[in-house]
Amino acid sequence: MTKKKTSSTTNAPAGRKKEWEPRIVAFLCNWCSYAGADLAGISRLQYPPNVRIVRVPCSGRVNPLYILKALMEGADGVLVSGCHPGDCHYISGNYVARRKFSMLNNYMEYLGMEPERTQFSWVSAAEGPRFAELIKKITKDVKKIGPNTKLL
Amino acid sequence: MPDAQKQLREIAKKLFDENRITFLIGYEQGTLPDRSRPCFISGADEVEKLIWNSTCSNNLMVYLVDYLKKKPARRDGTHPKLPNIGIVTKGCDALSLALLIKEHQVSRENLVVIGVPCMGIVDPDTKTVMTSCLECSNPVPHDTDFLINGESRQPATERFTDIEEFEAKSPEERWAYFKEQLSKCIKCHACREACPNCYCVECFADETDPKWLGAENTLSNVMMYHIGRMFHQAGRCVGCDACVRACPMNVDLRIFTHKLVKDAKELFDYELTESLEEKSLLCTFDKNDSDNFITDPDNVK
Repeated sequence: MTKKKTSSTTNAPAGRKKEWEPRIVAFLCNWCSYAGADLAGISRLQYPPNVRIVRVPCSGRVNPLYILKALMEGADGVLVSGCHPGDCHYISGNYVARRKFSMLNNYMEYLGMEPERTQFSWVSAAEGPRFAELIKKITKDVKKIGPNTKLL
Repeated sequence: MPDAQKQLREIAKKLFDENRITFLIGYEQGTLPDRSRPCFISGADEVEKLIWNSTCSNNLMVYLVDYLKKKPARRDGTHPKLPNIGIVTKGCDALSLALLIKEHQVSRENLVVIGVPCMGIVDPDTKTVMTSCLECSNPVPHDTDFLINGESRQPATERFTDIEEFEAKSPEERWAYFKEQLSKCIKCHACREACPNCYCVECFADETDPKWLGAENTLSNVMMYHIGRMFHQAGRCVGCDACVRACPMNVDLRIFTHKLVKDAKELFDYELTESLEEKSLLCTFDKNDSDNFITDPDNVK
C-alpha cells in the first residue's frame, strides 16, 4: 500500500529535493460548490493543484466517517463545502450538515487534531473566485501545519 | 436499600401472578461480592433472585434492544406479536429507553417499566461512587409504570468538570493522552456491546464494503473505530458510562464521549431528556445555528 508514503518526499528524483505538497480531499456538493469549482476552472482562475475533488449530492450526504477515512488514508487536509445556508437544493441538507460538522469540528479539536486540517465552507455556483480563494487559503493553512501524521 | 429491593420483588411477583409480563430483566447477585449481573426472570418463583442496590451497574436497555432486534418488522411493516417485558430501570436507563423509543427500536406498549430511584453506583474496585453518577442529571426515572419509593441522589449541579480540565490542556497534551489511552485498546468491542445506543445491525467497524477500518490492531484502526463510535453518540449519549465499565483495558472513554454531551448543551442547548417529543440533536436543525466554524476566504481572520 502507498499509505505510509503519502506525505514523504520519497518520490522525488535523486539529487533534487522536492518540496512537500499537501494532499487535500474536498467533498463538494453537486449543486453549488462543485459548480463553483467548475466556474473557477472555466474562468481560468489559478488555484493550487493540491486539492482532489469528490463530488457528493449534498453536503448533508457527507458522513463524518468520510472525513476520518480520508485522514486515515493519508490526506493532509479535508474540505467539505456546500451551498450557502438557505440555498440547499434539498431545502435543508446543509443545515443538518452544519450541525453535524460543528459538533465534529469541536470534537476533533478537543482530541488534539489541528482545526486547520478539517475545514467547512459554503461556496455557491456563482462564486468561482471565492472557490479559488478558498483553496488557496486551505492549502496555505495545511502547508503551515505540515503533513498529517496523527491518524495515519 | 433492602426495602427498595423488597418492593421490587413484590412488584415483580405481582406482575407475574397477574400474567402481565412474560419475562423480566433485572439484576441478580454476581459471583463476586459487590458485583451484580443482569438476570432474566420468567416466573414468580424466581423473583427472590432479584436485587437492587448500589452494585447494579449495567444499563439493562442493551438487553432489551438486543432482544427486540432479533424480532424485526415483517415485510408488510407489521410487527410480530411481542411478549410483554418487565424491566428494572434506573434514571440513566430511562434516558436510554426514551432514546430507543424515539429511534423506533423499542415500543413502549410491550413494556412494564419498574423505576428505581438511584443513589449512585459504587465502583467495586475503589468503593466510591462512579463519576457518571456524581454528574448524573436524572437520578429518578419519570416515565414508569411502577416507581419504587426510596432515597435518590440530588441531580448534579456541577457537571463536566473533568471535561473542562481536559479542554484547558494544550492540543499536544490532549492528543498525547488520547493516543496513550487508545493504545491500550485491544479492539474487543466491549464498549459497543455494552452500549444500548450501539444497536446497528451491522456496525461500521464490521462493514467490509465499504471497509472503514482494517482488522489489524493498529493505532490508526483503533482511533478510527473509537472516533467513529463516539461520534455516533453525538446528542445520544446518556452518560451512563456502561462503555467505561465494560472496558477490560480501562480506557478512559468517558472523557472523550462526555465531551459530546457538553458540546450539545453548549452549542445547541440540547440535553437528552425523557421527553419523547424532542427531536434528536442531529436529526433536526435551527436556521440560526452558529456559522462561526465555517471557513470564509473573503473574510480571513
